[in-house]
Amino acid sequence: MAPSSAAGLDRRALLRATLTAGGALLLRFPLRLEAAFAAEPPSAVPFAPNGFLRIAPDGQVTLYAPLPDMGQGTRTSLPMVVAEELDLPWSAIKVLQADLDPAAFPEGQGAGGSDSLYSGWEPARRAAATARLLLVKAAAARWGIPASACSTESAAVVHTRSARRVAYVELLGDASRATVEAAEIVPKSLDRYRLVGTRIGGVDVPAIVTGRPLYGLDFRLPEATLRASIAHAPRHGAKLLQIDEAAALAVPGVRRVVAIDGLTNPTRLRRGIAVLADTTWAALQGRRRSRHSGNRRPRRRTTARV
Amino acid sequence: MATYRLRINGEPRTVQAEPETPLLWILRDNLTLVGTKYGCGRGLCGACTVHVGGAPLRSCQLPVAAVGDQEVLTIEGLSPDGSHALQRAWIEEDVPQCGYCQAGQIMTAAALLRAKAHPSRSEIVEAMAGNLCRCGTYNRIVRAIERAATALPATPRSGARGGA
Repeated sequence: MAPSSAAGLDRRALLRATLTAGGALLLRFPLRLEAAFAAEPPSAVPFAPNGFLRIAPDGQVTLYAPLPDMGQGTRTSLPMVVAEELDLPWSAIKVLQADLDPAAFPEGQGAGGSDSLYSGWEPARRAAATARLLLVKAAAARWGIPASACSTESAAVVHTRSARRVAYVELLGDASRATVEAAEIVPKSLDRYRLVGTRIGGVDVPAIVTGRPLYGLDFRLPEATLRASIAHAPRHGAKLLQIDEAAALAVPGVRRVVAIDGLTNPTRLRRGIAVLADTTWAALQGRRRSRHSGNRRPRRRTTARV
Repeated sequence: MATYRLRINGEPRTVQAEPETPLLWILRDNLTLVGTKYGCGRGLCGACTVHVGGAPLRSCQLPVAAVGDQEVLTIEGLSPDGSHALQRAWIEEDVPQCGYCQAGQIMTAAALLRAKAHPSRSEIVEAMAGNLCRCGTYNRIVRAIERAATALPATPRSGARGGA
């Protein structure tokens, strides 16, 4: 099991769910331990920004995947954690990609360093555990019994002794008014896991095997009329010395050649040129014919050749 | 610019393009059939594989002017509803990781199974050798093809057991 650093959560004592105009239980879903389970104002935005677990009045559970999945499988694995914690049938989960939203995710929405699941597991688990406790409290209050006497299974709160059962979907209003404190949240123990640890299909596999749009290159903004092909300077730190702009522009369909100055941090934007054209093929041809070249970066003996 | 009348996934499609434009970009840009992927652009990786006249070809290397009246089949046209034996097997074996190369993998595999419904493992490996996968899903690809092959009826030739 990954080392736990749940101490950061204890700083945020109060957790509150909010009710959307549509009657859905909307919970902040922080990706980083330091993020708060902050109360959000009710929102009727139909595609909520990242960081939200949404349970709709029809029972549909949607997790907005905030991080890019480049094959790590986090669009599947993080929802699995949530489904496990909430005792939701896997078929009840719908996964949508969150929009880029610095306000909701001030720590960024990048993936790198192989830590998406490592760092996302515990927040996902606790966010789902919070949702579960709110639902359990709502059911317990309705039945006049302590929450500790209740358990959950198959998207419902149950009281085994009295054989009572209420589906989550019937508790959304009450659960949205319930409150829990961080110290009350006890995630499901690992020995009760049924879903995590099993192999289920990746959520994107049906789209992949039928060729439905999925990757960045598959989408085109409605207002975008040109395609760009970017050529970076061939060396880190190099300046662009010359390009044959006329040759690029001679390619049918090429409209413009734009110099990119780059940013100080080359991992953000490197120097180079962008060839803008009516079609991708023309942009690629224009880039090739521009015969871009760069100078050598001043040699710095910061690394040794091995 | 010239006008080309193509047959894509069983339907007539008319496009305007420069003659040397690769079929790949006709599919993706002109026809928004984006299931066919741009990988290396040099015919080396197989991500752009489609069937042209029944044969698996690298669409990044085939100028639209050379397509003529040959039938073009892309991943979108492999089955009407994703029910091709290979598509089902790919889901059952949970083959993809990032998935970017998989349309090309499936199209190459589809050509193989049409030519030989029950290939041996070594025949599968040989037929798939030109399709690269940087995630390294090769073992599952082979298993999925074997699974799909068992779901297919025997071709007349392989069904004539003992025949020569």
